[in-house]
Amino acid sequence: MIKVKNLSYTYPRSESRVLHQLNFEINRGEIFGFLGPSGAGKSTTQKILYKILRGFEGEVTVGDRSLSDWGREYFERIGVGFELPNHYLKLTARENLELFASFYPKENLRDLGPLFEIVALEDSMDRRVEEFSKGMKMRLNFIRAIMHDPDILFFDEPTVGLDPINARRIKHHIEKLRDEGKTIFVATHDMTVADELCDRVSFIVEGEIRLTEKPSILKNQYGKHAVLVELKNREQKEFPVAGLGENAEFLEFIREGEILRINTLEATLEEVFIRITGKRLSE
Amino acid sequence: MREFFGQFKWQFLIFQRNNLIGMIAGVTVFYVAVVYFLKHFGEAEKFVTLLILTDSSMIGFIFIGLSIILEKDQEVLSALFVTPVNLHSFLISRVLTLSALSLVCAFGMVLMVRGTSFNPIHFSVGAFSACVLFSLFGFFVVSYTTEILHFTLRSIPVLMGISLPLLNYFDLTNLGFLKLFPVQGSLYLIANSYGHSGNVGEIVFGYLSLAVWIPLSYWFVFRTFREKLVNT
Repeated sequence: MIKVKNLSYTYPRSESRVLHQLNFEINRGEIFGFLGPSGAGKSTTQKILYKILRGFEGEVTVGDRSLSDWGREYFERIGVGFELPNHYLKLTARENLELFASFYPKENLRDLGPLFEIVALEDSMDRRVEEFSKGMKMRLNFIRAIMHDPDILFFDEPTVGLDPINARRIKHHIEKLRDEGKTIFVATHDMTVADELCDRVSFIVEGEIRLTEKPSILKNQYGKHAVLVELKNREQKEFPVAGLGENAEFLEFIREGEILRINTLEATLEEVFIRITGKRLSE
Repeated sequence: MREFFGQFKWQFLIFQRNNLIGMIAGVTVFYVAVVYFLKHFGEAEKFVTLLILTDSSMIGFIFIGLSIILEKDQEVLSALFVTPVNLHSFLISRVLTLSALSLVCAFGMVLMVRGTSFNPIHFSVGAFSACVLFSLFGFFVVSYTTEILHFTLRSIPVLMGISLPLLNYFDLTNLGFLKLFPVQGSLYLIANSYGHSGNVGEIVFGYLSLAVWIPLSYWFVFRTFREKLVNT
């Protein structure tokens, strides 16, 4: 659905490039994570993909057309969930959505009532947004991004500012959108979100993509093929996964005491990121 | 067209919710009161013209600036520009909303001084176009700033420059080149609407000047706004 080939970008009146030869593809029905610390180039890449920044080098194809060949109709096909709340504060939540809805063809628009229910804001539809908490505004961001039923969705830090219940609710709905065949781009520095949501991830640092892969493969590849057994008496030992059922030492150890937990020692996505890029996400 | 009228309606509501309509009404009442006291003095129309231009600059220039700064501050512009919103509708609907409000104020003032004894067509075009021009210049200045203080500081020389034709109007100068300034057309039309026939040459010049300056300013503002605020 989206193909990016050798994408480079330099801001006007700047001498240094912020994006260097990016290559990635996002398929229909896929959640693609773009992971990197602040200033890595995530926002610039997104602005290019939602046709705000022009003058880039390389090729960006969306659907069957080059990005530059798309006209205003492109914006009917994309939905953007921003990192920060951005609403008319003096208007109600319903009015905000109605205002934005007025830019789209009516036949594409989803009913507002069920949309508000998705994010549990149905009781606050007619309240002014200035009375909302940050979390409520972020939930409003989310439904504004999907109200015109776009094929392609961009979410920038989709769960930032949300409590765990609402974060779960949003993640669940993003997965549902993926299952409906939407193409979803998630930019985040939250590795937990990326791990839970994304089918594939790219690590971007200093404007360069260092790697693109499935999180499960990365965690497996960069982790230990071992389990850590911890007993209730706090004694713990590592055992290789291979041949675990016949490993006499392992069997002896778990007979010895009461097991508290057994964990696989696959790497976390954050550990993989640090090992590959040499950078921390909070940098 | 549906989108344009939709935006017009939304702009009006946003201005109203942000108390801009109330502020405009307050300013108008103040100006009408000033005009009421001035009408007993000679050349009250000249003061009305001055007030209309001041009001237009206040409503058009300042309120356009404030509304865009507010939207930048609330990050609403970035959300708007990833929708199929038509940038022309976005700009024109705001200009026309404010100019329509400004025209109502201008009518309040002229009715107070002259009753119905003025040419409503020349007057309406003159007052309306003054606000259109000031709004466009407001868009231009706000394209280069994100802060109210910067906007205010930059507004002072711009507003003074735009308003220079008033020097000739008040016979303080007689500089021919000031006739080429954008608001000269509005000034001629407003000034000539007070008489029964008016100076035909000035009226024709006024219409021609506006026919050149409004599209030219709009084109310039559109490009600047798109470059500085949309594609960034």
